[in-house]
This record gives sequence, C-alpha cells and structure tokens, in this order.
Amino acid sequence: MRHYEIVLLVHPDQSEQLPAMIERYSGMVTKGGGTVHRSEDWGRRQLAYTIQRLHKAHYYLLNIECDQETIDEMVDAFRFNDAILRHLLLSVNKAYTEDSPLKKEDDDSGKKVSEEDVKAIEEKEAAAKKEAQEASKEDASSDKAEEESTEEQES
Amino acid sequence: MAKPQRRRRPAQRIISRNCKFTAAGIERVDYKDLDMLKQFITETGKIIPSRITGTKAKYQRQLSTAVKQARYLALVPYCDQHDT
Repeated sequence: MRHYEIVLLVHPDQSEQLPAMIERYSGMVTKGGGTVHRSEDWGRRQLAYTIQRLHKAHYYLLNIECDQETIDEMVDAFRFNDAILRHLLLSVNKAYTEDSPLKKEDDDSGKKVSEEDVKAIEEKEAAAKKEAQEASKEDASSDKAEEESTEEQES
Repeated sequence: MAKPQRRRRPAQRIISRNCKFTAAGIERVDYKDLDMLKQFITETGKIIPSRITGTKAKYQRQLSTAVKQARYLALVPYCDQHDT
C-alpha cells in the first residue's frame, strides 16, 4: 500500500459528471482495500495555456492509499475517459488530509475575474474570425483589377 | 577621490542571500502553492536561478520539480508565448 496524489483536469462541459466520476474512482480504491484521504474540488480554473483549445478546466485533487493493481486500473480508466483532459499521478510519502493552498484560494473573489477574462478572450477570437471571414469574402467577390487599383491608391 | 563602486549588472532584481524555504521551515516545496511558486518564476515563465533568489540547493531542486508539475497542470505557463 502506497500513498498517491492525483490531480485531474476535467473538460468544463463535462463537469456535471464529475461527482459521479469521483464516486466511481473512490469506489475502485475502497474495493481494492485502500482509503481516500483527501478529496478536493478546486472548481473551474483558468488554464495558463490552452489545452485542446480550452481556456478553462475543472480541477480535482485526490489523495489516496492503495495497492499497485488499483492504481494501474485507475490510470487506465483516466486514459479511456474522454472527459479527463489530463491527469497527474504522484507518489507521496504520507497521507495528506489538510486543505491545499489552491482550495483556499478558490474561496476568494479572484474567480469571477478569471471567468470574465475567458469571456473577453473568446469574444475577441470570435470577432477576429468574423473579420477574417468578411475579408476573405470581399477578396473573393472583388476583381483583381479593383484590388490592384486600391493598392495603387493606397501607395 | 574614491570612485563609487561599479555594479556588475544592472539592478534588475534584488539579490537575496537568505533562503525563503529554510526561513519558513517548509518540509516539501508544493506545486499547489501558486503564490509561492510565482515568486520564483520570471514574467516569461522561467525558473529564477538560486544564485539570484538565495534558495538552498535542496529546495531549489524541489522547486524545479514543483514548477514543472505546476506547468504540466496548466497552473503556471511554460512561457509567455502560448497561443491563447
């Protein structure tokens, strides 16, 4: 029996399924004779960089104690679960039960700002796409001669 | 008569001689403690060398793994040029 720490990044659209997923995984741990020491929901967080073109992900932290077979089974389950974008598995030397710094951080009001940021970024992207589309349409409709003439005028 | 001493490099960052982790009595550098990690990475996302921060070698090794774990989880950026 070893202690493990797992962080899961779940697709934000599938975060309603998260409680069920966690229940399933903790069921796997207890079935193998292990224990769940810490189970923390960090909520939807802004990603520092895009993963699969997503700006946000739902983070979940698990501290468990289980044997090798169970952990192998769990990692397999993470791989085959499409809702899980990424997982980090660490072996740790003891059972951590106290709240992690990130959980405390989530209680602060910093969360709203990040959501607004994401919206702003998405809006910008949408606007940029529209502009690009319009520009391409104009190019397609206008004749080459016209383009040339406009270039001359500009110069 | 005596000229003011020339600085070796521009004073970009205050060179600290004491280790923050030793002072705080930290057992293990945690990748989840973002406020702490951000003190040890630059705006571009690089890990600041221990000769600048004064971190003890033991903690600098732990810090480097912690930053890398945080990067993998997208808690901290790899660089400032991610195509967001």
